[in-house]
Amino acid sequence: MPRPGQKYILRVALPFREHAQRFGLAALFSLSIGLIVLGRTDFVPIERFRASVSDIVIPILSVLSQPVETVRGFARDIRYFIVLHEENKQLREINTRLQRWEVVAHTLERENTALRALLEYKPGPAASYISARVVGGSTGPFVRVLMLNAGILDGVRKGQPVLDNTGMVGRVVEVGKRSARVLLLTDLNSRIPIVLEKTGDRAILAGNNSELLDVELLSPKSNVLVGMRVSTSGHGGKLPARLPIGRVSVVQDGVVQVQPFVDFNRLEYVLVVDWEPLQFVPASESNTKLNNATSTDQLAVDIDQKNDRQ
Amino acid sequence: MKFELEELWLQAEAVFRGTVPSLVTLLLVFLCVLPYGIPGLSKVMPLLPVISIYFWSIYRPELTCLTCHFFIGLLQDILVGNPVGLSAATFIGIYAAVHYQRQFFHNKTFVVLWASFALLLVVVLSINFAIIALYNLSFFPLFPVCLQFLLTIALYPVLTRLFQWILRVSLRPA
Repeated sequence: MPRPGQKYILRVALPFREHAQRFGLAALFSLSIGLIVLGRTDFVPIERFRASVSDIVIPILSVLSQPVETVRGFARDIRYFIVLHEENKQLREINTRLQRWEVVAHTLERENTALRALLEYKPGPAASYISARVVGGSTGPFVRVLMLNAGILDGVRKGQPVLDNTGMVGRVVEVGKRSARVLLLTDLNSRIPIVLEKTGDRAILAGNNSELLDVELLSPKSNVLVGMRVSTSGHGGKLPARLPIGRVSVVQDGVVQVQPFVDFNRLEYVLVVDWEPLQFVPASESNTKLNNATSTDQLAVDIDQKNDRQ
Repeated sequence: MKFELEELWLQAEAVFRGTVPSLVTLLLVFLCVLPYGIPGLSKVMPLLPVISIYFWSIYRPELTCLTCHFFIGLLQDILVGNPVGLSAATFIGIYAAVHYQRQFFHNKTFVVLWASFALLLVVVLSINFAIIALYNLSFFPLFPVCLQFLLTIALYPVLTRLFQWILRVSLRPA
């Protein structure tokens, strides 16, 4: 039971409390809106804040995702067991086909080595990979991203492409000490320079938040057909060339769409390609720095030339 | 000495009680971003933290912490990849809507609360849709948003049952 003095204090303080709550509500709401606007301008402190928070929560996500992964593994085992007979049959057929290809590959390898020797070609350094576990991902219809449990300390850098065992998944857009965020190929903001492997036509592959990817800026003269393989072109030097992406699945009324090789729903482990995107520098500095290469091979040749000069 | 220990224990319990709604919301944020490997689920993942905030704002408004909502919202934005501040604004908006209409929500039946939640969710999703479309200067397919709305509405009774159990077990009057 409050005393008369306390009653008076409560009567005076209550409106203030209500006002303070209103002010707090308005302030936090305004701050949220301000952050959204600042985020649109690629404000660097916000990017750093995101990376730092990701670093902190990655261990929690790693722990929480363990039981989920166990259940997924169990479900996968059951699925494999159900389709074991059919899969075995398919694998035998694939094996027979691959044995024929092995003979062809050996012949081509010998031929390639002989031609390289004739041209005095110096191969570039072999690509290295950083393996990482997928510990989180986007939820909702607007964004397509993944969270990885590897970051700067593991060698991951912004812009590096990410693959699984079937093809390209996306590229790193944000990196913390122990975490990285990958923008998937299917995200609305994803743009990748590609090439149709059979015809050599270049284009841009754009995500649209759906399963299929849109092919943009493809020459109208291009003889594109359903089933053609699509890979990265390396154009612009931001990505290595020849990373497999998918197959053309729709060619209709000028609309060309690609079905990616990757099943984005089943990603558990991925490989980050240890690749340094090219830095374009003024012509005056070009004697000492790399520029204008468009593929991994070209990059390798440039690195060799640079090494020769030194 | 015994009295002091008892006092300390009571204080710790009071602190724990105060954090239960925020802890539940935080856990739901984490659960939503885990990679379940179910085809299509991530695109239409129900907005579980929104249900939590709505529920606690009605049943335990004195335990809901506005600053916690803000930071949990920021965390969700960072984990999900949304523009930072979007979920924070959404969470605060839901709290404000319930807070300023508390007379309406008082002693209402489950069905009325469910319908009100559906209405609030329509408003929230429409505003989010508009903000993200403006943010990206692009129009998004509506179908996944509708599916996300339906899934969230469908899970509302299940989650509220769970929250009511938490309310009975951990937040019963001392």
